[in-house]
Amino acid sequence: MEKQAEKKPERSSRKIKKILHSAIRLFKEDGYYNVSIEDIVIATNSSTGSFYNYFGSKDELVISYRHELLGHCRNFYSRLQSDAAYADKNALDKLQALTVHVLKLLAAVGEEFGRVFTVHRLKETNAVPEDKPYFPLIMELIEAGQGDKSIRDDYSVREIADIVDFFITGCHIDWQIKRGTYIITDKNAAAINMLFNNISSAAKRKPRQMCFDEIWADAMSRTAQDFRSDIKRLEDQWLERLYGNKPY
Amino acid sequence: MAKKLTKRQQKSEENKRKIVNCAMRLFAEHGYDNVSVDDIAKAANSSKGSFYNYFRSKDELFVFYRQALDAQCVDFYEKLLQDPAYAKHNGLQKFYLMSMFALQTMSSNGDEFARISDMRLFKDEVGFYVPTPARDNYHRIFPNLINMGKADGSIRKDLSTDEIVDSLYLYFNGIMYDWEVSKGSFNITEKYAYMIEFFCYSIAEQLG
Repeated sequence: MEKQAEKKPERSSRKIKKILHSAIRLFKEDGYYNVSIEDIVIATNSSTGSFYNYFGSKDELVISYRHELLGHCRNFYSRLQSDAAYADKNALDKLQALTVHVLKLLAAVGEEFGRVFTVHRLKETNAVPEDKPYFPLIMELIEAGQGDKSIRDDYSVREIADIVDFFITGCHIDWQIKRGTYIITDKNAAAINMLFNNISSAAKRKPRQMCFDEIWADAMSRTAQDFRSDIKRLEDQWLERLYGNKPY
Repeated sequence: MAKKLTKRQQKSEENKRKIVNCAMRLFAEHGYDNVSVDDIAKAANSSKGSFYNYFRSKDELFVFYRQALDAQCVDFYEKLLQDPAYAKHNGLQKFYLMSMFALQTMSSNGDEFARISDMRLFKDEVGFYVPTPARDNYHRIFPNLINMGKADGSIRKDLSTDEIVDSLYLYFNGIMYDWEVSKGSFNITEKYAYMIEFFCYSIAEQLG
């Protein structure tokens, strides 16, 4: 009795893996949008019912695959902590290595699958949560970096983590918009260096006070005034721009 | 300068504007995908035929609105250059103001609007943005401001202008996307403000 209970989940997880990997292979060969669930069912010698037993939709296959690949960032993180090659590196260096690794993993998911995931997240009201297994690792490294004095501490751990996270997302999004036509880590090498120079504790010395808050508040009140006092003119301009020339 | 319009043209413009405003309101309330051309025409007290007189599709209407927003950014840019109120600000400060204004413009219509905007970039049928005069102007804004900052000594000269612009877009796209897919779950202006300040310090010339 017990033995059977053990065997069953094992068998179904094997089945899930089989469906998943056959489907991913088919997607890669024929393009995601050209493969139907029926094609997958035929290729895996299973049934439509059995497919829906494990996966709710075609999207879910890609989501699982992406999840599996991104999970590798945890292995990389353990390597950062234990590998002799990183023994003399500080947390800032490790954070940079992790960031580059995450970008490579996102690229490894592939351009089309990345886009399937992005569209799913943008489109579905009940979309799966954004999958960021690397975020807690980034937080940990920043905390360590503020401890070993390699990362600046005039911003909070969360603030720096958000900046790194938005940067990673931005790189990935841009890469997808350009349909994966460049190598993600090469194209953004300069931006990566800029980011990490700025996270480094050496960057802590702020340049002359720029009064950013004040000038922004000032600009906003001025813009609001402009709109109030000259709303007619702006509206006309807006109208002309919007409707001035006939569509295409 | 705006051309003088005849009464009939004026009425037609007004009708068009009503259609656009109703459409934007409906999109925000019900989601872009759930609103049909029929719904828009009904809400604007107009007809489907009249809608198609102005726009070939819902999508085209959206692009027009989006272009108007780009034009608004160009307006602000021109103010930064010409309005005496901004004359005392250096290039870096103007760059900061412009980045903030761009985000404000894109986010002030709500996350649904931003979501549709981005959606267009990922769908295969649409793909890349079609360049328009407004967009071309828009893309000149940031390089110009950075070069201005380099000339007045507020922005580092050892970073190339393209590098700085590319970097800015990465942060901008990253935060916008996260905000859209989380259905506006965080205060984007607040987070963006410290991120952009952080960014501006990294491109600032170290003065004293």
